[in-house]
Amino acid sequence: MKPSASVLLHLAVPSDSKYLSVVHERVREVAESNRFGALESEQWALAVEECAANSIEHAYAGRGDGEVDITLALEGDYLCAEICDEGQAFESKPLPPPADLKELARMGAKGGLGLTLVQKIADSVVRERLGRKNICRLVKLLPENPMTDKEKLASAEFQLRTLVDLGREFSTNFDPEKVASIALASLMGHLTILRAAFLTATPGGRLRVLASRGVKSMDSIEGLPWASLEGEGTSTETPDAPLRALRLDFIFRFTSGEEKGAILFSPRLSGRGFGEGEKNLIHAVGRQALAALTGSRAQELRIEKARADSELQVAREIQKRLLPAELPAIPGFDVAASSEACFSVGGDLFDVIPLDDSRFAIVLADVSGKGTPASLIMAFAHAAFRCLANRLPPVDLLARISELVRNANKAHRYLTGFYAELDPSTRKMIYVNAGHLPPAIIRGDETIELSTGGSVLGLLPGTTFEQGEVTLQPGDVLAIYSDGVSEAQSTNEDEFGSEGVVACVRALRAKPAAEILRLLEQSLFEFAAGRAFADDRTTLILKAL
Amino acid sequence: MKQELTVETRKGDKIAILIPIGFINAHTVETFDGALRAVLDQGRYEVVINARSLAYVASAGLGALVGTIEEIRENGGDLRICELSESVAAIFEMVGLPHLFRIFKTEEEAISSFMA
Repeated sequence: MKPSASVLLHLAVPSDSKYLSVVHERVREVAESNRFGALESEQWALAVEECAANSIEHAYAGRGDGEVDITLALEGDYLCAEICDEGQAFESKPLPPPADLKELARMGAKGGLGLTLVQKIADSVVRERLGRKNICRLVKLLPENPMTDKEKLASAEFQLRTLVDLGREFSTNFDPEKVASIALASLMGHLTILRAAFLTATPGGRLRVLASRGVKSMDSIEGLPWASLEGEGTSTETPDAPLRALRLDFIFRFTSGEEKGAILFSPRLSGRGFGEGEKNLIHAVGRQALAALTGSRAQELRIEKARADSELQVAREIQKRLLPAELPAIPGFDVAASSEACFSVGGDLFDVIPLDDSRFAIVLADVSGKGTPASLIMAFAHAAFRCLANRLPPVDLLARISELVRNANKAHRYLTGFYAELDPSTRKMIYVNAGHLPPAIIRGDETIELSTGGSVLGLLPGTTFEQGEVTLQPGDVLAIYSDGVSEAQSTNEDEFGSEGVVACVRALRAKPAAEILRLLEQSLFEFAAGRAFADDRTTLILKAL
Repeated sequence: MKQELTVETRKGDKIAILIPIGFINAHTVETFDGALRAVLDQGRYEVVINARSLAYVASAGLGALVGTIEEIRENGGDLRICELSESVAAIFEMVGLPHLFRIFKTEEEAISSFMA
């Protein structure tokens, strides 16, 4: 080992194969606590075990009185292992080429696989004879991303907690500057950023600085035209000199209803850019803060009018703004969605979330019950989908959300949901249906129901899911909707029905998604003929172009 | 002490199902060899290895599989594997065993593949 190496493990075992499992276990533990994921740790342990087995079988030729020395150390970004013995010298020929399986099988040979495995697992394998010692040295580059899946999940949950905490804070704090300042503080902490500012647009379209942190004075930009904030997440396109001078190079803009907001950041301490998940968090926090600001303004007005339902109204406005006002564009697809609560606040949610690998997550969910209690679970679930998409494969994501919702409420509220990940380049969509009404793909005269998945979210412990897969064809229209749509009733209590939804969308399938949505809603109103809707209605239309 | 290796064997007319419990490495491979040998010597050449309780398999274990497959096939049988864990499957993949062995998700599928 080099002097600079930090030794993680030193182990000397007798040259007897019964100690191999000890070697395996110890080495696996060390790898696992040094950035390696479970699978890689297992493989690394196997590689070291193979070398130790070689020493025992070949160098000591089965004699049990020798010793095998194992050292694990970190050298910079590499995990190194040295396996030493004092047995017979290895043959001095170079390492053999990887074993040919067919050949081994033909010969009935039982050896020859060990070194192949070691060579495949380690990045480099060197064997040498030093004095009376055989030394086998394995090196493997540590994973580039230091976070294990567990840590990634922990970090996603940390984000989620931040959103929930902020939500709670925003709903009790009505001082706009404080709300903005809290939002900044928590984002700066998350993303290690030294300087930041939170801006809104005045009714006259000018910049107003609500809060800043780490910046000496923002006076120079107060009152500039809103249009000065061009570009997003870029460091080069800040057009106005006063903005440039502040060196707040990263600009994130967002809207909440009519209100516009922006968060400006200095470059991160780490020098890294912002990942898709981080951008989502920034936008979510920004939108949440902006919604709280406008909500609180609305509340100020209402207190003056002494309206009793003001809080509910604020909640409604905040909630409406949680859902995306505009969906991201999906290349090759046309997507539109809308949600109408039957009371002031509702329990339905939908979202389209861009993922890191240029795919898109599509979510629609419906919380049991309606009104304020359902809306709280809805807000929680919405934040959970936002934070965990990108981090977990769909089936694990839903299992996780099921647990989170189950732990977050004692009232046994649950939700049904449909979660899909669409790859626009291949049109392939994997999906999980968690007890939700099966979304329908309308393909010419054919209807394909997407029902693979599992039970509802948040009701039972340890719920598991299966995923389905479908490839959309040009012209296909996918309709995802909540039961408030299909169970809409006419005055003589007939239901609109899933068949009604499918027939209606089929008739409209040549039209743009937004138009299908509008005309479907119109049909519902005509069908209900004045009878009030009894449940929240949410529909998402995805059309393959 | 961690479970080293025991092998449960279930036998049908021609078929045998081996369930190794523990790990197969240079130390325990003889136990595994013994169990596999026993069913082959009784003329059962349709062998299913159910790997659901297999914690890990080192090259010695892989060698035991590779080293008997020709004999098994010459006798009109086959050795098929099911219920691989993620980590064992990764090792199989690494040395290219999926080209040599048919691998199934469930024991039922592996068994019925012999009926076909």
